[in-house]
Amino acid sequence: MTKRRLWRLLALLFAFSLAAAACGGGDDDADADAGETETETTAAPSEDEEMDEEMAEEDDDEGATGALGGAAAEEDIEAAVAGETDDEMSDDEMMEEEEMMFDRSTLEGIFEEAAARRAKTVAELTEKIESGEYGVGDDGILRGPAGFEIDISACPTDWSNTTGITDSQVRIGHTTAQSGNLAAYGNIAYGWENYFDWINDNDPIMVGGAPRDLTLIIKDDAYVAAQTIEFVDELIEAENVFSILTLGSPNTLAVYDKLNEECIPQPFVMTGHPAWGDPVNHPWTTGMQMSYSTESILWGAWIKENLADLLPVKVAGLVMDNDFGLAYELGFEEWAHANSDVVSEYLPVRHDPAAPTLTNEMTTVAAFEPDVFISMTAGNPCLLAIQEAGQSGLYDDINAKGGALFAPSVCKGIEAYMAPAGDFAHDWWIVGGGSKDTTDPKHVDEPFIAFVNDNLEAAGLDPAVSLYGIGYTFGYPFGEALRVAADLPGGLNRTNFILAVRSIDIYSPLHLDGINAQLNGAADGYFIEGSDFSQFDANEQTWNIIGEIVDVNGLSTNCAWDKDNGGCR
Amino acid sequence: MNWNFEILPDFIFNGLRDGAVYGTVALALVLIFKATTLINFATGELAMLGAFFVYVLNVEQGWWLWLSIAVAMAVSAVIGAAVERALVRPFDPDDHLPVVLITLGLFLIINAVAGDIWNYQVRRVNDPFGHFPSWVPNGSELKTSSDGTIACLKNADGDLVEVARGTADAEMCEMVGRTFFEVVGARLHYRTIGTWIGLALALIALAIILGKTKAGLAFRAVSSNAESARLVGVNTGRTLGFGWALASVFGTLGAALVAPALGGVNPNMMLTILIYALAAAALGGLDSLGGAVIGGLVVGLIKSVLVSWFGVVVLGQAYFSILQLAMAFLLILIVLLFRPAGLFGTRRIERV
Repeated sequence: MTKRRLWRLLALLFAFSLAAAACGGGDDDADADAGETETETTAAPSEDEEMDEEMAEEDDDEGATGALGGAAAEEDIEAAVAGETDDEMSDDEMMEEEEMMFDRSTLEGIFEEAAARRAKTVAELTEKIESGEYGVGDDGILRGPAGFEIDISACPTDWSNTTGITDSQVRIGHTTAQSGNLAAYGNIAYGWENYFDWINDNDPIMVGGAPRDLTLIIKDDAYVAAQTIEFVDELIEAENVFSILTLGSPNTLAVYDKLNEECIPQPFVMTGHPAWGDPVNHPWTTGMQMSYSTESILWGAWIKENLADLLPVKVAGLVMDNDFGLAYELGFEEWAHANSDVVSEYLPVRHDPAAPTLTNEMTTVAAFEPDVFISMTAGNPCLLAIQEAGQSGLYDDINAKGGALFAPSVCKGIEAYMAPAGDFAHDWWIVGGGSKDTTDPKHVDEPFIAFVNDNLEAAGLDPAVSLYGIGYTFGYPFGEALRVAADLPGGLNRTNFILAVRSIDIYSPLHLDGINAQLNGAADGYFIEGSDFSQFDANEQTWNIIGEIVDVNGLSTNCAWDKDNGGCR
Repeated sequence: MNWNFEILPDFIFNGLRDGAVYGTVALALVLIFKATTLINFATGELAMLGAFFVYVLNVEQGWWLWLSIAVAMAVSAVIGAAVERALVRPFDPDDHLPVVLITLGLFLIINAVAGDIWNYQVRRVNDPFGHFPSWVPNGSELKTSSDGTIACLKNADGDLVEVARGTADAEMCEMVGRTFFEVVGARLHYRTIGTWIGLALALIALAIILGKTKAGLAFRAVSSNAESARLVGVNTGRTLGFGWALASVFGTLGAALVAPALGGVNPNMMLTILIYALAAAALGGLDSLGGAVIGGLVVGLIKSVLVSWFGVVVLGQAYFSILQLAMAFLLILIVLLFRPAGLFGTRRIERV
């Protein structure tokens, strides 16, 4: 062998080792734990015995890694799904409800209710702050509701409570995907910005008696976590932002430690990973949507309640291979293990987030012949999963058996994901997280959604783009919290803002009635904990809610995410 | 180890379908490489633009699909030639760096402009091969509902009629409503066959154009030796523009064929496909048209059979699912290391 060939071989080996390191090392926390168990379960159609062995092995592992967490107790959720919850309100609650009766069928009524709720929150917080119970004490601890605490003295020495608030602006940073495979999610930022523009023009945030424009500084990280880290540094160091909002589970996980160390508010992140319910270790970060853990349990509870004749069922999942998809995979796997009388076999099939087609993955799923298929993916793959389920015969097979196909809550957008899939989208189920799609004909005439679509249209944005509307879903609670913070003693600053966020209790006009939108200090770290069960009607292009809205508000356990092993510590 | 041979044919068909698309896009890469000995990184984005033209004409304007594809290919040809004339020809052909940078710039500009015009939300397109041909009696639509009925037979008014499963009508219904043939227990979709036919027609057309027309002869002469061609009176500039136009035509065809499998058109639809096409062109030989096609099919098979079937299904290794793109890069690396000219490319011989 010549020396040149030897060098070539060595170069090749080096390349192989790089590829192996890149793939084997895992890009995420959950991978380390899930990898071993899932590699076996992902092997296509396995025998029953193999499955039992795997489950037994993984049961052993569970003790080491702990429960996934980030959701309400299984029995609470199942009771809610079965409609067995105690809906009776206390006298105080009933009085509060009566006081809060506003006409939600008009925009004015919705805004009046928002103002009244803000005033109530401001009054409650102000009273506590003035009594010294809340706010930053002499010991440098910020205290809030339900034992919420942040040690402000541990913030960086150059930290300021008012960074990002200038004479004319409140500067807010946002990292999102505006290029790459999930670029469609970048549209959320334009919707969010559109809402802020409306606030600036019509009802501005007042700081020290003067209006300040909410200014969104958007950075395109292409859904690449390494880029998110760079842009967050830039937003902190060069853009001097007041607060930062991130999109995507891997991206947010990559920066939430840093943002908490830097004492920068990161509320209502655009991801439903259970890790955002951690008010003790990550007090500056909160989620907005229902956690993926809750959603996973709701899938299971629905199967148990509605497919009684088929039990135990074989379930297959199509999983986006990153922190986002693995949160779903882990969540449902844990539920399946604990409910082997409901789920006899579970096959998660992972896919590359950048894959242009999913034909092979869905062929594997179809060959498994599941009774239930759950799509655990996001972005364009939402649509591909539906389309390939049809093309592979999976859709017909499952429907013929009387089983069910589930889309994940992040795929609820009709114009974005369901409409392009055509007839194959018909009858798909969703645990929808209680949100309203602004392109759903069922909701377009509602006053707030008409307001959203009018604003979008006035700005030259197409209301048929589902994700513009979702920008309002995230922007609305953000704006409400800013207004509350601005009215607290000391005005708008970071500590008041996070206090307002952790005390938020609003009516969200972009969520279905029956869905509570609340946080409660250190006790309740999840904003939305309820959901609809809906089924898609491809003829009418709408989601039909089937059964009651389920809400386990305040029952989800907080989750200190274990980055090394996955699951909650 | 569970070999799962039953589903292997499905993976082979999938691989050959994707491979045909990579081959078609690789043809576009190779055409430009033959003309200018450089890689046009904007090939995918020009193809994406072509696919959007099809969308605008067919879906938005209601033109007949095949006419839309033909017109989009013609418009793409003009754009390809214009790009060559305006952005490539002014530069010294022996200095590749500026032109490569221009193609990279074009890649970014076209993607951003398309995103601005059409947004990144996927837009559904009509599938040229999605269903049994519509001239077959009883129509070509099939709707299945969860209550066990299927609808496809048209009554006198031309409306769909629901029939129960298991009946003769239902069997007929399913036959005409299908989107596939069954071959050795696997689904061979009309879309897959259509993609193969598209690639075959592209190759035949290319062979005729390059072999039987003056412009094709000139292109071959210029790609063989531009200086000598110029000396014998060939207008090299115009001929290179012709090469760029042809490349854009094939790129558009590939994008139009693959769009239904991607759920529709969107500005990012060709990003990953371009990487597979690059691997295909490198494998087949950057100056070999036949090599590009074979390279495309091989890359498709490696991705589908080696990675997805053998790696994920047989070995049961979940991480293989994210190795597909890495495999394309690895293939490029292997070819460049051991056979830089590719399997069918011209080996460069230098006299010392």
